[in-house]
Amino acid sequence: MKIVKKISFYLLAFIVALQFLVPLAWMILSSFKTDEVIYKDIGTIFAIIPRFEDLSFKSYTELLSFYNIFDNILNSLIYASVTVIVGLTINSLAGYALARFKFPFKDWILIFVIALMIVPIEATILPLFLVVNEMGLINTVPGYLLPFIVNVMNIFLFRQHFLSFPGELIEAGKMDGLSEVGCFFRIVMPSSLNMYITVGILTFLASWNDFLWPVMALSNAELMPVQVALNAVFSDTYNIFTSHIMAALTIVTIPIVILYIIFQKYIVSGSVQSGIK
Amino acid sequence: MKKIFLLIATSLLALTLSACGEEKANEEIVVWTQASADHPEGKMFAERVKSYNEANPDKPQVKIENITRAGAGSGYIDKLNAAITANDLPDIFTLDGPDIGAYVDAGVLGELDGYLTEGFKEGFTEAIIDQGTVDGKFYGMGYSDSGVAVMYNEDMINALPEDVKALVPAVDEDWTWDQFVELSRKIDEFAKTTNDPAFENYEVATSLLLTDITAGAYELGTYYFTPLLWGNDANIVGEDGVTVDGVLNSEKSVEALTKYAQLFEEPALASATESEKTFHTGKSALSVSGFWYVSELINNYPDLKFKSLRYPKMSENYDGLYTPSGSWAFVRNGQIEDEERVQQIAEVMEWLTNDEASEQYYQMNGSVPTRINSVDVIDTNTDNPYHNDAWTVLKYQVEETNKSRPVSPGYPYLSETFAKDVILKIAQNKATDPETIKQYLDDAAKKIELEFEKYKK
Repeated sequence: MKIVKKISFYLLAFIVALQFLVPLAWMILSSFKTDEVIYKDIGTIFAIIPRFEDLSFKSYTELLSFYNIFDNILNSLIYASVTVIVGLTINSLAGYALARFKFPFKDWILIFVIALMIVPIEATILPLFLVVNEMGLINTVPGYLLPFIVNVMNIFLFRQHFLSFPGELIEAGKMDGLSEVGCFFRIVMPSSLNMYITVGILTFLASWNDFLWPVMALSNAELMPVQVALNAVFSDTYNIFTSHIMAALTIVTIPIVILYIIFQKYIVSGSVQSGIK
Repeated sequence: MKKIFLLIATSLLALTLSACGEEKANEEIVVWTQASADHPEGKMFAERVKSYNEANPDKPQVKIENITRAGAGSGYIDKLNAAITANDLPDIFTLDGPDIGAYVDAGVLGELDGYLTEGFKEGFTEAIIDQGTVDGKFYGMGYSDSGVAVMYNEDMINALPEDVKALVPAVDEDWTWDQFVELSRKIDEFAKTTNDPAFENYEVATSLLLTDITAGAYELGTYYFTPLLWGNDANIVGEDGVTVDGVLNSEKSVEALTKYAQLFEEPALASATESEKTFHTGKSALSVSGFWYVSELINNYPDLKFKSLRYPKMSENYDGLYTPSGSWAFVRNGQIEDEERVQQIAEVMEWLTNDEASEQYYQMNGSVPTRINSVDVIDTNTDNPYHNDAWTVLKYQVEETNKSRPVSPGYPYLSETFAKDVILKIAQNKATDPETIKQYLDDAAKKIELEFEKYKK
C-alpha cells in the first residue's frame, strides 16, 4: 500500500512537473529551429524532442545581429540589483518599525499599507507618470527606479516576519551596547537571511519582468531594460519570427534560472516563514 | 551597516537632485515613434533624422525617441495618452492611420494645411491623403502604406486537374469573390480525393487568419474584410464617421457578407480555428495575406513556393477603390500654437515623408511607399519570382485600388465590434443565410450606435 502511495505521489509530481517543463523545453528547442520547422513540428513529439539535423544557431546569430540585447540585459541587471538592494533596506526598516515600535497612527499606517496592496499598478500608472514628470525625472534612471523601491507588499511581508522575531535577541544586543539601528543591522538582518533572499528574489523578478513602467518612464533606447527591448522582437510592425522570439526568451530566462539555482534552498524556508504560498 | 545605509540614502538623494537639474532644450524638435531603435523601422527614422540635422545645421535639430509598442500599440499608446494628460506631448509623433480621427476629435492633433509646401500633400497617394484627412482637414502624413493579396501554394495548384487550374487568374488580372470561392471549393473537393504529396498536410482550402481576431487583433479582421463591403458600395460607418445604423446593416452589406459566408458553408472552406501558420506550412492552398507575408515566406519558409493574386472584387463591374490599405503616420502636436514653431515642425514632417524618404523606407524596411513618385522604387524584377509576383500585385493595388479605412472618432470600437461580432461570428457559427447575417449586423449596429452617442454633438 505504501509503495502504491509512493508511486502515485511521484506520478502526480511527474505530471505536474511536465506541465511546467514542456513549455520551457519547447521554447529552448524552438530557439534552435527555423520558423518552418517549429510550425511543422507543432502537435508532434518533435516539438519537445530534438532532431539534431534540424537544430542550428541561426536564430541566435540573426537576433544578435539585429538587437543589442546584452546591453539591455546589463541595464536590467543593474536596475533589478539597485531595486533589490535599496528596496530591501527601506522596506525591511519600514516593516520592522511597524512590527516592533509603538508610534502615533501606527494602525492607520498599517491599514493604509494593506489597502495599497490591492490597488493594481494599472490604476496608479497615470498619476505616477504625472508626479514623476512634474519632478522632471521622466527619461532618467532615478525617475524609473524611485517609484518601485518602496513596495507595500514587501513592507507587509517583513512586518509579518518581524512580528515573530524573538525579542530576547534584540534585548541581548541592547545589553551589549548596540543601538536600535545597530540591533537591526547586526542581529535582525543577519538572522532573517531567508526572508531577505525570498523577498529579494520576488523583487528582482518583478523588476526584471516589468514592462509598462519602463515604457512610460524611459524613452532613451540606451536606458531600456530587456523586457522593453525584447518587445521589439515580439511586435515588429510586420514580420514576427517565432524562432527569434524563442531565442530572445531563452537568453532572458537564463539569469532567472541561475538565480533560482543559487538561492533555491533559501526560497522554500523563506516562503514558509513569510506565509507566501 | 550604518555606513551602507547612509551611502544608499546619499546616493539616492544625489541621483534625484542630479536628474532634477536636467533641462529640456527648447530648440529641439522631438519626434516620438512606436518603432524600437534596433528595428529596421527605427533605424530608418534615425537615418532620416540624421540626414535632416546634417542638411539643416542652422535650424532646430531633430531628436527622435523610440517608445516601444506592444501588440496593437499599447505601451506606446499608454505613454502617449499619459503625455496628453500631462500636457507634455512631443512636437511630432506617430499614430496608426485609423486612430487619427479619435485624436483629432480629442483636440490633440494640429492640422497641416497651410503649413506644407505647395503641392506636397497632393504627392501622397489618394488612400494616404484620405487616411490623414478628418472633416476636410489634413492631419496625418503616412510614411508607409500596406496591402493585401491572395496567395496560393504553387505545388498544390500544379497538382490540380487542368479545368480547376484554369480558374486561377493571372497576376495582372482582376477576379471576383465568387471566383475565389469557386476555386476554394474545387481545391477542397480535389484535396479530399487525392494522394498527391503536395496535399499531404492539407487542412483547409483557404487561410483567413481569423484566429488573430480571437486573439484580440480585431483590426486585422476589419482591415482584411471591410473591402468586401466597399466593393459592394457599402461601408461599416457613414461619411460622418458616427452613423452606423442603416450603413453597417444595409442590404448591400448583407449581400457582401453573405458572399463572404459562402466560405463557411459545409464542407467549410475556411475555419475560425485554423492551425498556426496554416498557409506557411502547406496546410492550406490559398491565403488572404497581408504584404508582410512576402518577406516572411521568402526568408523563413524557403521551401514554400507561393504565387500572388489580386484581392478579389465583389463584382466584375465595380471600378471604385476597394483594396485594404493604410498604416502608421506622422502627426503634429496640436497644443503648439506658435506659428513659427509649427512651420518648423511641418518642414521636418515633410522631410520625414517626402519622395526621397519614401524610397529610403522601402529600401531599408520594405515599407510600402506612400508617395506617387516613389511607388516605382518597388522592384518587381529581382531574382526571386515570388517577390516579383507579390509586389506586382501590391504595387498595382497601391497605385490603382487602395482605399483608406473609414475615419471615425470611435474607430477602435467600430473595428473591434465589426471584426468580433460580425466577421468572426459568421465563421464560428457557420452562419450562411442572409437573415442570420442581417441579425448579426443589426446587433452590431445597435451596439456601436449606443457607444457612438457620445460623439454625436
